[in-house]
Amino acid sequence: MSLDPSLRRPLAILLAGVVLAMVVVPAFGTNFQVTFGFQFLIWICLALSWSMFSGNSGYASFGHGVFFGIGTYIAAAVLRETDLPFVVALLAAGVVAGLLALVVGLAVFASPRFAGDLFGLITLAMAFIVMTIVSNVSFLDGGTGVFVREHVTDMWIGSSTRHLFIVAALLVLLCGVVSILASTTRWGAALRSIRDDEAVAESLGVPTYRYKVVTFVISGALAGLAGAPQAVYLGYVEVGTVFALTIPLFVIMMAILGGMTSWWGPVVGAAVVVTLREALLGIGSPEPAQVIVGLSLVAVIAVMPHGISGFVSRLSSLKTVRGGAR
Amino acid sequence: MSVSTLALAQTLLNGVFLGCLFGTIALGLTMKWGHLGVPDFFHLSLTLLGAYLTYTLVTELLWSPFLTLVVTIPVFFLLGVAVQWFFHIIKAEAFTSLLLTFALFIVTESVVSMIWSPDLLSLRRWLSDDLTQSAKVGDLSVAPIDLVALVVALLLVGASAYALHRTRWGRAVQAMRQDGQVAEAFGVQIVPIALVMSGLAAGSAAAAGMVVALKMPLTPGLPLHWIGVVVVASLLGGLGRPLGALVAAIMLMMIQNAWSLWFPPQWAPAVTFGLLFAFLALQPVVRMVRDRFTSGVARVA
Repeated sequence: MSLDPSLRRPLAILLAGVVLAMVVVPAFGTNFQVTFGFQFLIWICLALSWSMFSGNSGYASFGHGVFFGIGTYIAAAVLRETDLPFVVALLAAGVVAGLLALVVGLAVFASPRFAGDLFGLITLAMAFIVMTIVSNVSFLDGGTGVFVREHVTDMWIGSSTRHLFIVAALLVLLCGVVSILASTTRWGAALRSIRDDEAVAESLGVPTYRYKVVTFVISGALAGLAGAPQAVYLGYVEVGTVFALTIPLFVIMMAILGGMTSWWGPVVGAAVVVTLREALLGIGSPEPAQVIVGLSLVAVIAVMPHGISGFVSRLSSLKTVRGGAR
Repeated sequence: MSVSTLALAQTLLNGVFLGCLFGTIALGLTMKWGHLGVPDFFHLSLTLLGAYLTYTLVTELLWSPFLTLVVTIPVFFLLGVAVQWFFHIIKAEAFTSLLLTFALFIVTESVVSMIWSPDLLSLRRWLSDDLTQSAKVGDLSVAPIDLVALVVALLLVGASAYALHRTRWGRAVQAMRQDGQVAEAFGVQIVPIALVMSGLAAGSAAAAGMVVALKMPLTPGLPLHWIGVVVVASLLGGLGRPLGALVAAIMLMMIQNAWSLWFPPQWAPAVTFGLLFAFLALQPVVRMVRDRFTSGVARVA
């Protein structure tokens, strides 16, 4: 398969970054650094996979936390009920989250009415429905929560946070590759044409329905995959924390803060938000931290509507203009 | 399992009163969503804030719950104007506004639990017996608080519907929704109307908050349980139609309460959303019927 030359550089940078992280952090990092790094990588996965669909197509989803959460729960159920290896739990998490996205996507994208705010609300409603189902089905939770830790202590994945870190790094690699493809290929161009003007895109022969459904499924499946190591990391899985509404909010904030005009925007956003959150944890109670994060989201939207990456690319384009004038 | 007629009637009646409360909350949401294009989660937070303020004024200053409205409604009006003004300054698009109100929603939840603690707070023992003692009407029991909910709902919804359909101001709002630019060309002042409307919506949240404080114990997480019912009621009633939202909220609550008689109550929230999805699937039919039988304006997508 021949690779488009424009793809080579970002892919090489991504690969180098992930490999470097996989070698350096588990080998030399302290336990705290590895744990922090793991959370950081999971957030990057979520921000990238959200932005891949919502950033490119303009359909803002509030349901990303659901795909992540259902992935967490499916992985927890597989690990608890069976003796299958972690890879199976991981794949099951991705597949089920993808299927959920498929069902929702097929229904919602069928009518052009459900764009904009209605799409956001429907994905939010999906979160409440899934929460109700999970807390009432005993195979998944049944209202008591699931202890995962005791089932994974003698498995490779549960023996060390370093192994979780490696899994998360591989997932970031996967999300990154898909994001780069989504930002530079024909597929990405089709998605962005949907964002700019869906009716025009459709009339020019872009199969918008198919593109939206497929991308939504990929985005959901990637978030589901990220849920599997999260289940092992949490050790105890419970509806309130797994489906917390702050998760999609944080993800959206990362993508908006970083900017969605380039594929690496969400990575920058994730770095900023995760660092901010970690710094705020020093305050002690979680409420002030949540207030500050929420208010900074408001401030960011007001000041930098195109995020950091949009800000940077505007600066660089300004420079080019000035250079040309000289 | 057999259910007596009396139990069913009582359950349905309770559903009506609870529906009145949710209809009052939905009023501000449906007006802002339908006419200003902002599905405002923050409205639910304002309602909660109103409830907590009522609690504090009643327990600390020993005011009558109804007197608190004199303070809360004007304050909330200004708050609503301020939020809309902020949206106007930053030229927020629909999605950005949704996200902003969502962020404010999360912020308010944390602020409330910082100020009033995350524990349950109940106003009940501060109220006079006139408000808490249920009266018997036939075989059914009716709490005076529920009558307050009913009166507040009818007053606010009635006034909004009247203002919207019968006054010059209401016609200006309708013109604005149909085509903002054309309305502006004909002399409709869009910005002041939007500001006032947002203020009035916030004022209604203060009144709804008072009813909430009377009716249920308060926790910072309450609005999360309201989102479903209120949003579904707004959609089912037709966006921007106060009366529709009230009727839909009452129906929803009656169905949900009746459901709990026969089926496990923990599934009741799913009923609301199930109805929402059924409604969305039937949308084209509903739209056709509505356009045929009413002269109301369909929502401009």
